[in-house]
Amino acid sequence: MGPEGLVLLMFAGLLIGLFMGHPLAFVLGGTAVIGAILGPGEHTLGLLINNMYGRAMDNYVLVAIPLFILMARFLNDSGVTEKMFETMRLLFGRVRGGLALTVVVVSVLLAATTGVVGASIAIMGMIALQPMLKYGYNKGLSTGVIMASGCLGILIPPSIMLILIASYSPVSVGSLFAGALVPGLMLGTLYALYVLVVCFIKPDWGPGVSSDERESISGGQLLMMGLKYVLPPMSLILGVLGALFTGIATATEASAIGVVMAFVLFLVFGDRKLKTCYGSLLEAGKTTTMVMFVLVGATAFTGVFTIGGGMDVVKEVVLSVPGGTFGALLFMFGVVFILGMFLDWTGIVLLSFPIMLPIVESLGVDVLWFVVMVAVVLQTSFLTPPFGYALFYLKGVAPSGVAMLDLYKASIPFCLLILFACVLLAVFPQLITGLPTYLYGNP
Amino acid sequence: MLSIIRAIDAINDWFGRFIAPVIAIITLIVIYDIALRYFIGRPSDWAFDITKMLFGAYFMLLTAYGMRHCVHAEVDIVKQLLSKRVRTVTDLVGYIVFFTPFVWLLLTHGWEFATRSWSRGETTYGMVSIPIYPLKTVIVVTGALILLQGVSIVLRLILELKESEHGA
Amino acid sequence: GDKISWTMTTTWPDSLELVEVDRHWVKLVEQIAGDDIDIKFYPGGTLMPGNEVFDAVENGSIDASGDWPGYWAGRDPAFSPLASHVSLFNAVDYLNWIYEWGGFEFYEKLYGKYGIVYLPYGVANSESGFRGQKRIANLDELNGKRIRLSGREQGKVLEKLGASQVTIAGGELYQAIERGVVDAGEFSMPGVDYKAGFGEVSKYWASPGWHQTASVYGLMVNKESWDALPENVRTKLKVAAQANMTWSLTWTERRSTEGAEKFKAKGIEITRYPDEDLKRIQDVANEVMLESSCENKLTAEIYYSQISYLNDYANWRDVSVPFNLSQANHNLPSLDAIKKCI
Ligand code: NA
Ligand code: NA
Repeated sequence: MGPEGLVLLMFAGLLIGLFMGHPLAFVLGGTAVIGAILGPGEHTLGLLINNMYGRAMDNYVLVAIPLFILMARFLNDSGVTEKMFETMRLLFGRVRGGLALTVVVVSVLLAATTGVVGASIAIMGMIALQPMLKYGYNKGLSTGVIMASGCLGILIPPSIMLILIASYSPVSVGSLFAGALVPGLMLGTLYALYVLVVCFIKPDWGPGVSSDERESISGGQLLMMGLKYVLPPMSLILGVLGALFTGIATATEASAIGVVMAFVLFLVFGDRKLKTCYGSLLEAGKTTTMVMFVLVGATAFTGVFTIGGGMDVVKEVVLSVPGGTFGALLFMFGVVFILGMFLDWTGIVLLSFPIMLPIVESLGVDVLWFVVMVAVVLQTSFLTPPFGYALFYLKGVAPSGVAMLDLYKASIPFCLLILFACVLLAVFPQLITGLPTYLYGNP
Repeated sequence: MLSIIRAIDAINDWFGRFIAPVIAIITLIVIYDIALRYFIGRPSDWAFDITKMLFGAYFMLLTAYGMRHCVHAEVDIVKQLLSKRVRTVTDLVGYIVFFTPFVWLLLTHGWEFATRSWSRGETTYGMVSIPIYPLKTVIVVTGALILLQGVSIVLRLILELKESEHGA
Repeated sequence: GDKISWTMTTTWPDSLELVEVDRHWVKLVEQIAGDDIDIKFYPGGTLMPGNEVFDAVENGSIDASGDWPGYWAGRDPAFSPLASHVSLFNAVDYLNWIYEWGGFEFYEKLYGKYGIVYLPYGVANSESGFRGQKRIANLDELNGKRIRLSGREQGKVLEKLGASQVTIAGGELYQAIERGVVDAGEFSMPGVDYKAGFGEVSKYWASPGWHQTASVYGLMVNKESWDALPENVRTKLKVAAQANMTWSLTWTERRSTEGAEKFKAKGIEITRYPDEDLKRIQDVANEVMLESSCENKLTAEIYYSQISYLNDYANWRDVSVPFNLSQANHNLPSLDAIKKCI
């Protein structure tokens, strides 16, 4: 089978398996095995094991995933986050959508500690979704805001993805961090504005506190609740950030510090029972294996796609596209978007940058602007149905009442917001290039 | 048939409960390494490699436990539209077409991968030599565990299919 | 006739310019054997992570891969002296030893154990040294520092000098230096280091790079793929490898020069260890080479051959000073002591 046939077979296999309702990790892995045998040949099967081992199992940076998940589990099982959201709701008072705004803010803070998408979404899915649903928040708004804000982790520095991107482009890590900061914060702001607007139009999507309930609690009581339930989890996040920015620990190590702090909160606020603690470990294990095994399948899939010549097919199509600079750019973002739905981001950066960056340079386009745009576009591909990793990660931790279709619907407004952001960044490229130029001068 | 299903579920449950606390050990090792570096100024020679290896073994060995508790992400949209019987058949087909080749890969090529490592006593290349072959063997063990759980799931599907036949 | 088709990759991703050493060889082969063989080259990391290429060549998933032998020292410690040294060979020493003093046999022997045929096809001289936020101008200042450094023998020497080896994933290194998780770190040669952003996060550069005074790169070929080649094609691949060796040395030296210029232009302060400190480093390196020799028989054989070469070459090298090629160093590990471990 030629490369074109293989590309078709693999994408078709993936979609069929997906809609059959088979677990995604096995669909990815099974398609990879069949693709390897029919495409590049049976002798390449060993490569799949090499990819699984080398990219997923033997990868220190990914250790942050189970650690952040365990941190969230302890926080959740201590009961403090539930009370935190209750307090936040009261603090926001009659302002509608307060909890959704809290999710955005906490996610942006989390984004500054981790660059791992699976981790941030699992964290917020575990601690925020239940309280939001409990207080009558709209399912679509709640899940959508968690998924979209959770993806910000790879855009807001520090981010492992940006470091990898920098190593594949003439842009330095420093200027890439600076270039991605404004778009990242801008997206966060857009999500917050959307929450405010949509809750203004549809009050029952993010109900505020009734005046009776608000009056039943004095300002002093509320202050006490804030000190007791909001301050500790917030200091935990700031503690993780602090360990990172003061040079006590690397990003991965900081996640372990987060676990210890969350465990302390569990001892303070939780029931301190060994059984609950063991239960937290079991649940954290389930979430970790869900996130990680999808990655294992994805590495196998990406490996076969590459050795089978899939990238050559993509390259030929990119090079043959008409329409000048605008057409070429639009097409390249389109390719990144589509690949982002199927491959993990490591694969996309490794495979597409060596092909695309020379084209971008020859077009006379600012490379820094282009790579940050790619990072923003990747945000949408994680969120887009039918095959966005954010959707699967949230599905894995969501309560059973949340169906995949709910998540598909929930992601649409946020994808449109990102698209809107892309247009803004294209019309006003200074949003990307401004800060790096200010900090580092003209490259 | 039901007894086989129950036995497999029990095995994977027990094993998952045994492996889950490993993440606590990983946390302690990372903290120990930070503390040594920060307070004593001399980091551990082994913490980096051991952390990474425990992590690799941890999530792989929990895969079957995850299957046992249906945590692996899947899309239920089309499924919801199908009748119970068609859904069961679709699930069976999924296990034959996708799951089986993948498990076969883990068992056969995973086995070769592990034995190559055993044959030369492969170690890490840090300050201390830590054997790598146990971690490479984890792939085969994972294959075996999820094969078992797959058998349990498929048997359950067949039971459901039989029941629906009798029902009709 | 039937054109042979190969799939080849390397340990170096596109982001590390060492990948050009592999690419240049592929280009040479295309020029002299383009009618006989078609090599489809994938940069490192695309088909599989760099550390997995050895296994993939051995299992036949791919036909060939470029490498740096030191990565395989977990399979056999003897790969280490075939790749680089702490304070011993420079690039010309490796060339001399491989081609004229019997070094090539050791590559054949060791890789051969795994069903791999080896063509050395690249050599580079010294690496940069340590860079970071703290000034390390001598061994006193190195004492007590936390240094990101790869390699076992390198780590042993560092620890004996009073500093400690910190292992940090490549992706976290930039931030680790920026935030001060490590006091300093080494990565590669100046051109590569500059591109990795170390000019942005470090103020000082401690030279010279005694931890890796030269490096050998080469091609691993699956034995079945090699045996399937006609004799004349094999010869052409070998000729291309020899030509690539010379090219790689001059090219990496030029890139290091350009990298050093850029670091200077950034205002990075370059310090040098005093001569007596370099002597002390040599003493410690000699100790560690002896230790390694006594832990592994093949390592001992290789060091024996390499140090015998240095002793032999000294007969002419010392006469030609100051126009000599190799370092006129007489403080070497004792051959007798190594022999006891063989
Ligand atoms: Na981040
Ligand atoms: Na190095």
